[in-house]
Amino acid sequence: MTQPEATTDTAPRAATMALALESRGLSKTFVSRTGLWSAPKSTRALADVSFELRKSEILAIVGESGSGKSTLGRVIVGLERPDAGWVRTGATTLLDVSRREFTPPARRRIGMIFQDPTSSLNGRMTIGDIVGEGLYLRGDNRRQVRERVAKVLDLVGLRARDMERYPHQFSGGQRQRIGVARALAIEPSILIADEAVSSLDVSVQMQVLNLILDIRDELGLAVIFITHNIGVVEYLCDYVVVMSRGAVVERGPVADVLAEPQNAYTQRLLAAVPRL
Amino acid sequence: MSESADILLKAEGLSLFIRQGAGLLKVVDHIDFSIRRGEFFGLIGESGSGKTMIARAIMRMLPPSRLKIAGSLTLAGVDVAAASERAMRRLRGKTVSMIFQEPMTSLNPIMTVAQQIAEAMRVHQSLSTPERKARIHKLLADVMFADPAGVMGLYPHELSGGMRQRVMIAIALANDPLLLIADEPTTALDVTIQQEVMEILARLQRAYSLSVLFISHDLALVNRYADRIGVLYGGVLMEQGRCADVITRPAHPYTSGLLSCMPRARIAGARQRGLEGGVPRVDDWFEGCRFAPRCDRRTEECSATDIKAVRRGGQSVKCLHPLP
Repeated sequence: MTQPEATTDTAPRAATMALALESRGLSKTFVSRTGLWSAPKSTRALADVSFELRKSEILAIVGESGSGKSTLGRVIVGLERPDAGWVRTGATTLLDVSRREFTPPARRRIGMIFQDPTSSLNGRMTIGDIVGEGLYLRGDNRRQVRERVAKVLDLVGLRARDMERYPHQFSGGQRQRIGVARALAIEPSILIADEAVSSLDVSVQMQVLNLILDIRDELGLAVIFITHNIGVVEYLCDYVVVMSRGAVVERGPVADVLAEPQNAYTQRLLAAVPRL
Repeated sequence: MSESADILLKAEGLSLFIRQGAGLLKVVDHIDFSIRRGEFFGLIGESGSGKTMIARAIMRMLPPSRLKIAGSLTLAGVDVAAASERAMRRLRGKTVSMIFQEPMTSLNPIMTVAQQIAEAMRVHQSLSTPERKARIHKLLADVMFADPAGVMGLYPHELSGGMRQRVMIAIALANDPLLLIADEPTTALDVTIQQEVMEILARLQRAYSLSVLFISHDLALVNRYADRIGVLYGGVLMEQGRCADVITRPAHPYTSGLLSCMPRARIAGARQRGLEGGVPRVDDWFEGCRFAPRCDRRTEECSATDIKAVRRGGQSVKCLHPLP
Protein backbone atom coordinates (compact mmCIF):
# COMPACT_ATOMS: atom_id res chain seq x y z
CA MET A 1 0.00 0.00 0.00
CA THR A 2 1.25 3.45 -0.79
CA GLN A 3 1.24 5.85 2.10
CA PRO A 4 0.30 9.49 1.52
CA GLU A 5 3.41 11.53 0.91
CA ALA A 6 4.40 14.31 3.25
CA THR A 7 6.11 17.45 2.05
CA THR A 8 8.16 19.60 4.32
CA ASP A 9 8.64 22.06 1.50
CA THR A 10 7.95 25.28 3.35
CA ALA A 11 9.70 27.26 0.63
CA PRO A 12 9.65 25.23 -2.59
CA ARG A 13 12.98 25.31 -4.36
CA ALA A 14 13.09 28.31 -6.64
CA ALA A 15 11.70 27.43 -10.04
CA THR A 16 14.53 29.45 -11.54
CA MET A 17 17.09 26.92 -10.34
CA ALA A 18 17.89 24.93 -13.44
CA LEU A 19 17.05 21.26 -13.44
CA ALA A 20 19.82 18.72 -13.83
CA LEU A 21 17.45 15.78 -13.95
CA GLU A 22 13.75 15.16 -13.82
CA SER A 23 11.83 11.93 -13.45
CA ARG A 24 8.14 11.05 -13.47
CA GLY A 25 6.16 7.99 -12.57
CA LEU A 26 9.00 5.49 -12.29
CA SER A 27 7.68 2.05 -11.43
CA LYS A 28 9.43 -1.29 -11.30
CA THR A 29 8.23 -4.69 -10.13
CA PHE A 30 10.61 -7.60 -9.73
CA VAL A 31 9.15 -11.05 -10.22
CA SER A 32 11.00 -13.95 -8.66
CA ARG A 33 10.24 -17.63 -8.41
CA THR A 34 10.70 -18.76 -4.83
CA GLY A 35 10.32 -22.47 -5.56
CA LEU A 36 9.62 -24.86 -8.36
CA TRP A 37 5.92 -25.25 -7.54
CA SER A 38 5.10 -22.03 -5.76
CA ALA A 39 3.52 -19.09 -7.53
CA PRO A 40 5.97 -16.35 -8.62
CA LYS A 41 6.41 -13.65 -6.02
CA SER A 42 6.37 -10.05 -7.12
CA THR A 43 8.07 -7.21 -5.28
CA ARG A 44 7.25 -3.60 -5.95
CA ALA A 45 10.67 -1.93 -5.92
CA LEU A 46 9.50 1.42 -7.30
CA ALA A 47 5.94 2.70 -7.11
CA ASP A 48 5.29 5.84 -9.13
CA VAL A 49 8.45 7.70 -8.10
CA SER A 50 8.88 11.27 -9.36
CA PHE A 51 11.59 13.72 -8.34
CA GLU A 52 13.73 16.58 -9.56
CA LEU A 53 17.43 17.18 -9.14
CA ARG A 54 18.67 20.76 -9.43
CA LYS A 55 22.05 21.77 -10.79
CA SER A 56 24.81 21.83 -8.12
CA GLU A 57 22.47 20.18 -5.66
CA ILE A 58 23.29 17.16 -3.49
CA LEU A 59 20.09 15.17 -3.20
CA ALA A 60 19.78 12.43 -0.58
CA ILE A 61 17.71 9.35 -1.25
CA VAL A 62 17.13 7.80 2.16
CA GLY A 63 15.52 4.53 3.14
CA GLU A 64 16.07 1.14 4.73
CA SER A 65 16.74 -2.10 2.89
CA GLY A 66 13.96 -2.91 0.45
CA SER A 67 12.89 0.73 0.17
CA GLY A 68 13.81 0.84 -3.52
CA LYS A 69 16.52 3.47 -3.14
CA SER A 70 19.21 1.42 -4.89
CA THR A 71 16.84 0.38 -7.68
CA LEU A 72 16.10 4.06 -8.28
CA GLY A 73 19.83 4.77 -8.66
CA ARG A 74 20.26 1.83 -11.03
CA VAL A 75 17.33 2.95 -13.17
CA ILE A 76 18.74 6.45 -13.53
CA VAL A 77 22.20 5.25 -14.43
CA GLY A 78 20.72 2.70 -16.88
CA LEU A 79 21.60 -0.58 -15.19
CA GLU A 80 17.92 -1.41 -14.73
CA ARG A 81 14.89 -0.75 -16.93
CA PRO A 82 11.68 0.41 -15.22
CA ASP A 83 8.18 -0.79 -16.17
CA ALA A 84 6.84 2.74 -16.45
CA GLY A 85 7.93 6.35 -16.29
CA TRP A 86 10.55 8.61 -17.79
CA VAL A 87 13.83 10.33 -16.89
CA ARG A 88 15.22 13.44 -18.58
CA THR A 89 18.37 15.50 -18.19
CA GLY A 90 17.89 18.93 -19.70
CA ALA A 91 16.67 18.34 -23.24
CA THR A 92 17.86 14.71 -23.41
CA THR A 93 15.52 11.85 -22.67
CA LEU A 94 17.43 9.11 -20.84
CA LEU A 95 14.48 6.81 -20.92
CA ASP A 96 10.79 6.95 -21.60
CA VAL A 97 8.93 3.67 -21.27
CA SER A 98 5.76 4.78 -23.07
CA ARG A 99 7.77 6.02 -26.07
CA ARG A 100 10.19 3.07 -25.92
CA GLU A 101 13.22 5.32 -25.68
CA PHE A 102 16.32 4.12 -23.87
CA THR A 103 19.73 5.79 -23.90
CA PRO A 104 22.49 3.23 -23.18
CA PRO A 105 24.36 3.80 -19.89
CA ALA A 106 27.62 4.71 -21.65
CA ARG A 107 25.96 7.71 -23.33
CA ARG A 108 24.13 9.08 -20.31
CA ARG A 109 26.99 11.13 -18.84
CA ILE A 110 26.10 9.96 -15.38
CA GLY A 111 28.94 8.76 -13.18
CA MET A 112 28.34 6.12 -10.56
CA ILE A 113 30.20 5.48 -7.31
CA PHE A 114 29.58 2.09 -5.71
CA GLN A 115 29.49 0.98 -2.09
CA ASP A 116 32.43 -1.36 -1.83
CA PRO A 117 35.57 0.11 -3.37
CA THR A 118 37.36 -3.24 -3.14
CA SER A 119 34.94 -5.44 -5.04
CA SER A 120 34.00 -2.74 -7.54
CA LEU A 121 37.59 -2.32 -8.78
CA ASN A 122 39.05 -5.08 -10.93
CA GLY A 123 42.17 -6.24 -9.10
CA ARG A 124 43.92 -7.30 -12.31
CA MET A 125 43.64 -3.91 -13.98
CA THR A 126 45.87 -0.89 -13.37
CA ILE A 127 44.29 2.25 -11.96
CA GLY A 128 44.86 3.89 -15.36
CA ASP A 129 42.78 1.22 -17.11
CA ILE A 130 40.07 1.16 -14.43
CA VAL A 131 39.58 4.91 -14.47
CA GLY A 132 39.99 5.16 -18.24
CA GLU A 133 37.74 2.25 -19.24
CA GLY A 134 34.68 4.41 -19.88
CA LEU A 135 36.78 6.73 -22.04
CA TYR A 136 38.05 3.89 -24.25
CA LEU A 137 34.43 2.76 -24.56
CA ARG A 138 33.36 6.12 -25.87
CA GLY A 139 36.20 6.06 -28.41
CA ASP A 140 38.95 8.25 -26.95
CA ASN A 141 42.50 7.43 -28.07
CA ARG A 142 45.28 6.37 -25.70
CA ARG A 143 46.80 9.82 -25.33
CA GLN A 144 43.45 11.47 -24.63
CA VAL A 145 42.62 8.81 -22.06
CA ARG A 146 45.94 9.22 -20.22
CA GLU A 147 45.54 12.99 -20.09
CA ARG A 148 42.01 12.78 -18.76
CA VAL A 149 42.89 10.06 -16.21
CA ALA A 150 45.82 12.12 -14.93
CA LYS A 151 43.48 15.06 -14.55
CA VAL A 152 40.77 13.23 -12.57
CA LEU A 153 43.35 11.46 -10.37
CA ASP A 154 44.68 14.89 -9.48
CA LEU A 155 41.14 16.07 -8.77
CA VAL A 156 40.56 13.32 -6.22
CA GLY A 157 43.92 13.80 -4.51
CA LEU A 158 45.89 10.96 -6.11
CA ARG A 159 48.93 11.31 -8.36
CA ALA A 160 49.29 10.72 -12.09
CA ARG A 161 51.94 8.08 -11.44
CA ASP A 162 49.35 6.04 -9.51
CA MET A 163 48.04 5.09 -12.98
CA GLU A 164 50.56 2.24 -13.19
CA ARG A 165 49.61 0.76 -9.80
CA TYR A 166 46.98 -1.83 -8.86
CA PRO A 167 44.01 -1.53 -6.44
CA HIS A 168 45.57 -3.69 -3.69
CA GLN A 169 48.35 -1.14 -3.34
CA PHE A 170 45.87 1.41 -1.98
CA SER A 171 44.04 1.79 1.33
CA GLY A 172 40.22 1.62 1.56
CA GLY A 173 39.84 5.40 1.49
CA GLN A 174 42.18 5.72 -1.49
CA ARG A 175 40.29 3.00 -3.34
CA GLN A 176 37.08 4.95 -2.94
CA ARG A 177 38.92 7.99 -4.35
CA ILE A 178 39.73 5.80 -7.36
CA GLY A 179 36.01 4.96 -7.57
CA VAL A 180 35.22 8.68 -7.57
CA ALA A 181 37.88 9.33 -10.23
CA ARG A 182 36.36 6.62 -12.45
CA ALA A 183 32.92 8.21 -12.07
CA LEU A 184 34.33 11.63 -12.98
CA ALA A 185 36.42 10.46 -15.95
CA ILE A 186 33.56 10.53 -18.43
CA GLU A 187 32.89 14.21 -17.65
CA PRO A 188 29.45 13.52 -16.17
CA SER A 189 26.92 16.19 -15.37
CA ILE A 190 25.47 14.03 -12.63
CA LEU A 191 27.08 11.78 -10.05
CA ILE A 192 25.21 8.95 -8.34
CA ALA A 193 26.73 7.55 -5.16
CA ASP A 194 25.13 4.41 -3.72
CA GLU A 195 26.19 3.99 -0.07
CA ALA A 196 29.57 5.34 -1.14
CA VAL A 197 31.01 5.67 2.38
CA SER A 198 29.23 2.85 4.23
CA SER A 199 32.02 0.32 3.94
CA LEU A 200 34.80 2.76 4.84
CA ASP A 201 36.41 3.12 8.24
CA VAL A 202 34.78 5.85 10.30
CA SER A 203 38.01 7.88 10.43
CA VAL A 204 38.22 7.81 6.62
CA GLN A 205 34.58 8.55 5.70
CA MET A 206 34.88 12.28 6.28
CA GLN A 207 37.69 12.53 3.69
CA VAL A 208 35.43 11.09 1.00
CA LEU A 209 32.47 13.25 2.05
CA ASN A 210 34.66 16.35 1.83
CA LEU A 211 35.94 15.18 -1.56
CA ILE A 212 32.36 14.99 -2.84
CA LEU A 213 31.66 18.50 -1.51
CA ASP A 214 34.85 19.79 -3.20
CA ILE A 215 33.87 18.22 -6.51
CA ARG A 216 30.37 19.65 -6.35
CA ASP A 217 31.79 23.09 -5.56
CA GLU A 218 34.51 22.98 -8.22
CA LEU A 219 32.66 21.31 -11.08
CA GLY A 220 29.10 22.34 -10.24
CA LEU A 221 27.95 18.74 -10.53
CA ALA A 222 24.59 17.56 -9.27
CA VAL A 223 24.85 14.58 -6.97
CA ILE A 224 22.36 11.90 -5.96
CA PHE A 225 23.56 10.39 -2.70
CA ILE A 226 21.81 7.15 -1.78
CA THR A 227 22.29 6.29 1.88
CA HIS A 228 20.82 4.99 5.12
CA ASN A 229 23.12 7.18 7.21
CA ILE A 230 21.25 10.20 8.54
CA GLY A 231 24.42 11.88 9.80
CA VAL A 232 25.80 11.85 6.25
CA VAL A 233 22.56 13.35 4.92
CA GLU A 234 22.78 16.13 7.47
CA TYR A 235 26.39 16.92 6.63
CA LEU A 236 26.41 16.52 2.88
CA CYS A 237 22.99 17.00 1.36
CA ASP A 238 20.72 19.90 0.49
CA TYR A 239 17.47 18.14 -0.21
CA VAL A 240 16.16 14.76 0.88
CA VAL A 241 13.72 12.21 -0.53
CA VAL A 242 12.62 9.55 1.96
CA MET A 243 11.56 6.19 0.51
CA SER A 244 9.75 3.26 2.02
CA ARG A 245 8.60 0.13 0.17
CA GLY A 246 9.25 1.62 -3.23
CA ALA A 247 7.37 4.87 -2.67
CA VAL A 248 8.44 8.37 -1.74
CA VAL A 249 6.92 9.06 1.68
CA GLU A 250 8.42 12.48 2.34
CA ARG A 251 10.61 15.08 0.67
CA GLY A 252 11.98 18.50 1.51
CA PRO A 253 15.07 20.52 2.40
CA VAL A 254 17.31 18.46 4.71
CA ALA A 255 17.17 20.87 7.65
CA ASP A 256 13.35 20.98 7.58
CA VAL A 257 12.75 17.24 7.22
CA LEU A 258 15.25 16.36 9.95
CA ALA A 259 13.92 19.00 12.32
CA GLU A 260 10.24 18.30 11.79
CA PRO A 261 9.51 15.10 9.93
CA GLN A 262 5.85 14.94 8.92
CA ASN A 263 5.51 11.35 7.83
CA ALA A 264 5.16 8.64 10.51
CA TYR A 265 7.80 6.43 8.89
CA THR A 266 10.33 9.28 8.69
CA GLN A 267 9.67 10.05 12.34
CA ARG A 268 10.28 6.43 13.33
CA LEU A 269 13.42 6.24 11.23
CA LEU A 270 14.91 9.41 12.69
CA ALA A 271 14.06 8.38 16.26
CA ALA A 272 15.91 5.09 15.78
CA VAL A 273 19.16 6.76 14.68
CA PRO A 274 21.63 7.00 17.57
CA ARG A 275 23.27 10.40 17.74
CA LEU A 276 25.94 12.06 19.79
CA MET B 1 30.94 -6.99 47.68
CA SER B 2 34.46 -5.73 47.24
CA GLU B 3 35.40 -4.21 43.93
CA SER B 4 37.73 -7.03 42.93
CA ALA B 5 35.12 -9.70 43.66
CA ASP B 6 32.78 -7.79 41.39
CA ILE B 7 35.09 -8.13 38.40
CA LEU B 8 34.10 -10.82 35.90
CA LEU B 9 36.66 -10.36 33.14
CA LYS B 10 40.14 -8.94 33.53
CA ALA B 11 42.87 -8.44 30.97
CA GLU B 12 46.31 -7.35 32.18
CA GLY B 13 49.11 -6.68 29.74
CA LEU B 14 47.20 -8.79 27.26
CA SER B 15 48.83 -9.28 23.86
CA LEU B 16 47.54 -11.56 21.13
CA PHE B 17 49.48 -13.09 18.27
CA ILE B 18 48.32 -14.98 15.23
CA ARG B 19 50.60 -17.68 13.91
CA GLN B 20 51.52 -16.89 10.33
CA GLY B 21 53.76 -19.42 8.65
CA ALA B 22 56.82 -19.68 10.86
CA GLY B 23 56.29 -16.34 12.60
CA LEU B 24 53.88 -14.61 14.93
CA LEU B 25 51.86 -11.56 13.94
CA LYS B 26 50.90 -9.27 16.81
CA VAL B 27 47.23 -8.26 16.58
CA VAL B 28 46.59 -6.90 20.10
CA ASP B 29 49.26 -4.98 21.95
CA HIS B 30 49.48 -5.00 25.75
CA ILE B 31 46.00 -3.98 26.80
CA ASP B 32 44.50 -3.66 30.29
CA PHE B 33 40.78 -3.59 30.95
CA SER B 34 38.13 -5.21 33.07
CA ILE B 35 34.39 -5.76 33.01
CA ARG B 36 32.29 -5.89 36.17
CA ARG B 37 29.21 -7.96 36.86
CA GLY B 38 26.20 -6.43 35.13
CA GLU B 39 28.27 -3.88 33.24
CA PHE B 40 27.81 -2.92 29.59
CA PHE B 41 31.30 -2.35 28.18
CA GLY B 42 31.59 -0.90 24.67
CA LEU B 43 34.75 -1.70 22.74
CA ILE B 44 35.18 0.73 19.86
CA GLY B 45 37.53 0.09 17.00
CA GLU B 46 38.02 0.43 13.25
CA SER B 47 39.22 -2.30 10.91
CA GLY B 48 42.40 -3.99 12.06
CA SER B 49 42.16 -2.56 15.57
CA GLY B 50 42.06 -6.06 17.09
CA LYS B 51 38.57 -5.84 18.57
CA THR B 52 37.32 -9.13 17.14
CA MET B 53 40.55 -10.89 18.16
CA ILE B 54 39.92 -9.93 21.78
CA ALA B 55 36.47 -11.54 21.58
CA ARG B 56 37.94 -14.67 20.05
CA ALA B 57 40.60 -14.88 22.72
CA ILE B 58 38.05 -14.64 25.55
CA MET B 59 36.05 -17.50 24.01
CA ARG B 60 39.30 -19.21 22.94
CA MET B 61 37.68 -19.85 19.61
CA LEU B 62 41.07 -20.50 18.05
CA PRO B 63 43.39 -23.14 19.55
CA PRO B 64 46.55 -21.85 21.30
CA SER B 65 48.53 -23.12 18.32
CA ARG B 66 46.77 -20.53 16.11
CA LEU B 67 46.17 -17.66 18.51
CA LYS B 68 48.81 -17.08 21.17
CA ILE B 69 47.70 -15.32 24.33
CA ALA B 70 50.43 -13.45 26.25
CA GLY B 71 49.90 -11.55 29.48
CA SER B 72 46.93 -12.35 31.65
CA LEU B 73 43.28 -12.92 30.78
CA THR B 74 40.96 -14.16 33.50
CA LEU B 75 37.27 -14.88 33.20
CA ALA B 76 35.31 -15.68 36.37
CA GLY B 77 38.54 -16.67 38.07
CA VAL B 78 39.70 -18.97 35.25
CA ASP B 79 42.99 -18.24 33.52
CA VAL B 80 41.87 -18.38 29.89
CA ALA B 81 45.41 -18.52 28.52
CA ALA B 82 46.30 -21.62 30.54
CA ALA B 83 42.94 -23.40 30.84
CA SER B 84 42.57 -26.88 29.38
CA GLU B 85 40.23 -27.39 26.46
CA ARG B 86 37.88 -29.24 28.84
CA ALA B 87 37.81 -26.29 31.22
CA MET B 88 37.10 -23.96 28.26
CA ARG B 89 34.15 -26.13 27.20
CA ARG B 90 32.69 -25.71 30.69
CA LEU B 91 33.12 -21.95 30.35
CA ARG B 92 31.64 -21.53 26.88
CA GLY B 93 27.90 -21.11 26.95
CA LYS B 94 27.66 -21.25 30.74
CA THR B 95 29.98 -18.39 31.70
CA VAL B 96 30.46 -16.61 28.39
CA SER B 97 28.68 -16.75 25.09
CA MET B 98 28.69 -14.74 21.92
CA ILE B 99 26.57 -13.31 19.11
CA PHE B 100 27.91 -12.25 15.73
CA GLN B 101 27.27 -9.79 12.93
CA GLU B 102 25.64 -12.20 10.52
CA PRO B 103 23.18 -14.47 12.36
CA MET B 104 22.37 -16.54 9.27
CA THR B 105 25.87 -17.98 9.12
CA SER B 106 25.67 -19.06 12.77
CA LEU B 107 22.23 -20.68 12.54
CA ASN B 108 21.72 -24.18 11.19
CA PRO B 109 19.39 -23.91 8.16
CA ILE B 110 17.88 -27.39 8.59
CA MET B 111 17.04 -27.17 12.29
CA THR B 112 14.05 -25.42 13.83
CA VAL B 113 14.47 -22.57 16.30
CA ALA B 114 13.48 -24.84 19.21
CA GLN B 115 15.92 -27.57 18.17
CA GLN B 116 18.80 -25.09 18.02
CA ILE B 117 18.06 -23.63 21.44
CA ALA B 118 17.67 -27.16 22.85
CA GLU B 119 21.01 -28.16 21.38
CA ALA B 120 22.75 -25.29 23.16
CA MET B 121 21.03 -26.23 26.44
CA ARG B 122 21.92 -29.92 26.23
CA VAL B 123 25.63 -29.16 26.68
CA HIS B 124 25.19 -27.79 30.18
CA GLN B 125 21.75 -28.78 31.47
CA SER B 126 19.81 -32.03 31.73
CA LEU B 127 16.15 -31.17 31.68
CA SER B 128 12.97 -33.17 31.17
CA THR B 129 11.11 -32.53 27.93
CA PRO B 130 8.42 -30.32 29.51
CA GLU B 131 11.05 -28.39 31.48
CA ARG B 132 13.08 -27.87 28.32
CA LYS B 133 10.04 -26.71 26.38
CA ALA B 134 9.08 -24.26 29.11
CA ARG B 135 12.63 -22.91 29.17
CA ILE B 136 12.72 -22.41 25.37
CA HIS B 137 9.37 -20.66 25.59
CA LYS B 138 10.72 -18.34 28.27
CA LEU B 139 13.89 -17.56 26.29
CA LEU B 140 11.91 -16.65 23.18
CA ALA B 141 9.58 -14.47 25.24
CA ASP B 142 12.67 -12.79 26.72
CA VAL B 143 13.80 -11.73 23.25
CA MET B 144 10.35 -10.26 22.66
CA PHE B 145 8.69 -12.74 20.34
CA ALA B 146 4.97 -12.10 20.75
CA ASP B 147 4.18 -15.74 19.94
CA PRO B 148 7.05 -17.91 21.28
CA ALA B 149 5.17 -21.16 20.67
CA GLY B 150 4.69 -20.24 17.03
CA VAL B 151 8.35 -19.32 16.51
CA MET B 152 9.68 -22.60 17.97
CA GLY B 153 8.83 -24.64 14.89
CA LEU B 154 10.17 -22.14 12.34
CA TYR B 155 13.35 -22.55 10.30
CA PRO B 156 15.94 -19.74 9.98
CA HIS B 157 14.93 -18.91 6.39
CA GLU B 158 11.42 -18.14 7.60
CA LEU B 159 12.74 -15.39 9.88
CA SER B 160 13.72 -11.80 9.07
CA GLY B 161 17.24 -10.53 9.86
CA GLY B 162 16.14 -8.93 13.12
CA MET B 163 14.26 -12.07 14.20
CA ARG B 164 17.32 -14.22 13.46
CA GLN B 165 19.49 -12.03 15.62
CA ARG B 166 16.92 -12.33 18.42
CA VAL B 167 16.99 -16.12 18.09
CA MET B 168 20.79 -15.94 18.32
CA ILE B 169 20.46 -13.96 21.54
CA ALA B 170 18.06 -16.61 22.90
CA ILE B 171 20.58 -19.35 22.04
CA ALA B 172 23.42 -17.37 23.59
CA LEU B 173 21.45 -16.93 26.82
CA ALA B 174 20.20 -20.55 26.96
CA ASN B 175 22.60 -21.47 29.77
CA ASP B 176 22.37 -18.20 31.73
CA PRO B 177 25.88 -16.95 30.98
CA LEU B 178 27.46 -14.20 33.04
CA LEU B 179 29.06 -12.47 30.05
CA LEU B 180 27.64 -11.95 26.59
CA ILE B 181 30.06 -10.89 23.86
CA ALA B 182 28.29 -9.12 21.00
CA ASP B 183 30.50 -8.55 17.96
CA GLU B 184 28.85 -5.90 15.74
CA PRO B 185 25.49 -7.68 16.16
CA THR B 186 23.46 -4.95 14.48
CA THR B 187 25.78 -3.80 11.69
CA ALA B 188 23.89 -5.75 9.03
CA LEU B 189 20.48 -4.58 10.25
CA ASP B 190 18.36 -1.55 9.37
CA VAL B 191 18.34 1.20 11.99
CA THR B 192 14.76 0.60 13.14
CA ILE B 193 15.54 -3.12 13.60
CA GLN B 194 18.88 -2.25 15.18
CA GLN B 195 17.00 -0.26 17.79
CA GLU B 196 14.70 -3.20 18.58
CA VAL B 197 17.64 -5.58 19.05
CA MET B 198 19.56 -3.06 21.18
CA GLU B 199 16.59 -2.42 23.43
CA ILE B 200 16.19 -6.18 23.96
CA LEU B 201 19.90 -6.52 24.83
CA ALA B 202 19.75 -3.60 27.26
CA ARG B 203 16.63 -4.99 28.94
CA LEU B 204 18.17 -8.45 29.38
CA GLN B 205 21.37 -6.92 30.71
CA ARG B 206 19.39 -5.17 33.45
CA ALA B 207 16.99 -8.04 34.15
CA TYR B 208 19.71 -10.68 34.59
CA SER B 209 22.65 -8.50 35.69
CA LEU B 210 24.32 -9.73 32.53
CA SER B 211 27.70 -8.31 31.63
CA VAL B 212 27.95 -7.30 27.99
CA LEU B 213 31.10 -6.79 25.93
CA PHE B 214 29.73 -4.89 22.95
CA ILE B 215 32.12 -4.58 20.01
CA SER B 216 31.36 -1.90 17.44
CA HIS B 217 32.71 0.78 15.16
CA ASP B 218 29.72 3.00 15.91
CA LEU B 219 30.47 5.49 18.68
CA ALA B 220 26.97 6.97 18.64
CA LEU B 221 25.31 3.57 19.05
CA VAL B 222 27.59 2.48 21.87
CA ASN B 223 27.09 5.82 23.60
CA ARG B 224 23.40 5.06 23.99
CA TYR B 225 23.91 1.83 25.93
CA ALA B 226 27.41 1.49 27.40
CA ASP B 227 28.42 2.18 31.00
CA ARG B 228 32.09 2.29 30.10
CA ILE B 229 33.95 2.25 26.79
CA GLY B 230 37.40 1.41 25.51
CA VAL B 231 38.78 2.86 22.29
CA LEU B 232 41.11 0.59 20.34
CA TYR B 233 43.43 1.68 17.57
CA GLY B 234 46.14 -0.43 15.98
CA GLY B 235 45.80 -3.08 18.69
CA VAL B 236 46.31 -0.57 21.52
CA LEU B 237 43.61 0.45 23.98
CA MET B 238 44.13 4.18 23.53
CA GLU B 239 41.55 5.36 26.03
CA GLN B 240 38.98 3.99 28.43
CA GLY B 241 36.61 5.38 30.99
CA ARG B 242 33.00 6.10 31.72
CA CYS B 243 31.18 6.42 28.43
CA ALA B 244 29.72 9.85 29.11
CA ASP B 245 33.15 11.21 30.13
CA VAL B 246 35.02 9.79 27.13
CA ILE B 247 32.47 11.11 24.66
CA THR B 248 32.03 14.57 26.16
CA ARG B 249 35.67 15.07 27.15
CA PRO B 250 37.94 12.74 25.17
CA ALA B 251 41.49 12.61 26.50
CA HIS B 252 43.13 10.86 23.56
CA PRO B 253 43.59 12.78 20.29
CA TYR B 254 42.33 9.69 18.41
CA THR B 255 39.04 9.63 20.34
CA SER B 256 38.65 13.31 19.70
CA GLY B 257 39.51 12.80 16.02
CA LEU B 258 36.99 9.98 15.74
CA LEU B 259 34.30 12.26 17.17
CA SER B 260 35.18 14.91 14.60
CA CYS B 261 34.63 12.28 11.89
CA MET B 262 30.99 11.79 12.84
CA PRO B 263 29.11 13.83 10.26
CA ARG B 264 26.61 16.38 11.53
CA ALA B 265 24.88 19.48 10.19
CA ARG B 266 27.22 22.07 8.68
CA ILE B 267 26.69 25.49 10.22
CA ALA B 268 27.02 28.10 7.48
CA GLY B 269 28.66 25.59 5.19
CA ALA B 270 31.65 25.00 7.48
CA ARG B 271 33.48 21.72 6.90
CA GLN B 272 34.45 19.18 9.53
CA ARG B 273 38.13 18.40 9.29
CA GLY B 274 37.97 14.75 10.20
CA LEU B 275 41.26 12.85 10.22
CA GLU B 276 43.93 12.65 7.54
CA GLY B 277 45.40 9.37 6.39
CA GLY B 278 44.20 5.86 7.10
CA VAL B 279 44.14 3.11 9.68
CA PRO B 280 47.51 1.28 10.02
CA ARG B 281 47.47 -2.21 8.54
CA VAL B 282 48.12 -4.94 11.04
CA ASP B 283 51.13 -6.26 9.11
CA ASP B 284 52.92 -2.94 9.12
CA TRP B 285 52.64 -1.79 12.68
CA PHE B 286 55.54 0.28 13.92
CA GLU B 287 57.03 1.09 17.33
CA GLY B 288 55.71 4.03 19.27
CA CYS B 289 52.22 5.50 19.12
CA ARG B 290 50.43 4.09 16.06
CA PHE B 291 48.18 7.10 15.86
CA ALA B 292 51.10 9.55 15.73
CA PRO B 293 51.25 9.89 11.90
CA ARG B 294 47.64 11.19 11.90
CA CYS B 295 47.95 13.23 15.11
CA ASP B 296 48.45 16.99 15.25
CA ARG B 297 49.76 16.81 18.84
CA ARG B 298 52.65 14.47 18.01
CA THR B 299 56.21 15.21 19.02
CA GLU B 300 59.43 13.24 18.61
CA GLU B 301 58.88 11.42 21.90
CA CYS B 302 55.75 9.80 20.45
CA SER B 303 57.92 7.27 18.66
CA ALA B 304 59.14 6.05 22.08
CA THR B 305 58.63 2.32 22.34
CA ASP B 306 56.71 2.09 25.58
CA ILE B 307 53.91 4.58 26.12
CA LYS B 308 52.30 4.01 29.50
CA ALA B 309 48.68 4.66 30.34
CA VAL B 310 48.14 7.79 32.42
CA ARG B 311 45.01 8.86 34.26
CA ARG B 312 43.06 11.99 33.52
CA GLY B 313 40.17 12.15 35.94
CA GLY B 314 38.38 8.83 35.70
CA GLN B 315 39.82 8.13 32.26
CA SER B 316 42.88 6.12 31.43
CA VAL B 317 44.74 7.25 28.33
CA LYS B 318 47.80 5.99 26.46
CA CYS B 319 49.17 9.26 25.20
CA LEU B 320 52.14 11.48 25.98
CA HIS B 321 50.14 14.61 25.17
CA PRO B 322 46.56 13.97 26.27
CA LEU B 323 43.96 16.64 25.76
CA PRO B 324 43.43 18.88 28.80
